[in-house]
Amino acid sequence: MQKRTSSVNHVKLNGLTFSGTFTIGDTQQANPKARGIAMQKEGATFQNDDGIYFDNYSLFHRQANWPENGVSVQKNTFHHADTIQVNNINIIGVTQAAIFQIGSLEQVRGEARIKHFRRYLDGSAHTNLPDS
Amino acid sequence: MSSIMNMEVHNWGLHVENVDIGTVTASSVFLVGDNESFVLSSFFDTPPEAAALGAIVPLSG
Repeated sequence: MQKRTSSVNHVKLNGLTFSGTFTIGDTQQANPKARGIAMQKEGATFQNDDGIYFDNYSLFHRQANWPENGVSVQKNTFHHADTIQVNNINIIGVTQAAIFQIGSLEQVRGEARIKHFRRYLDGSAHTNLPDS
Repeated sequence: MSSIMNMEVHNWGLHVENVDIGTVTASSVFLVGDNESFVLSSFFDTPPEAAALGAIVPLSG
């Protein structure tokens, strides 16, 4: 398929973090992947090793439910204008295997896994137990 | 007989004045351009107490 030119006059992007991507130009293939554990801790003292590992949580092991290949479709695209014009873009953040691109992007296969839990001083957290 | 679906797409002029986004996150894509295929997956787990439903502070009384 013939690709159009993307033209953006002004971009303001505040934060690009944790495997976020901002591309100006064309891309053939992108396979972003990110995994993260977000812990909110009562009485916030953090050590180097909090004893929290990806391997202990089933969220990082379970199989993603990828869609099966669909029926192939014969597609004919006609571009009646050769540019996609955007005047202004304002984004606060691009993060965790996300992509912000100006230009064509042929193929993307992305995966993100985020586990969030809280740990209380009295040890009453239930959701931070391994495999919860 | 092969039954391949046929599709015809006409992209007429596209001119956008302004885009304002909070965050693009967890295997999401914001694209200004053309694309052939997207396959995106995301897992997110949060404790039940993080999802506060209804009024947290009593609004009266």
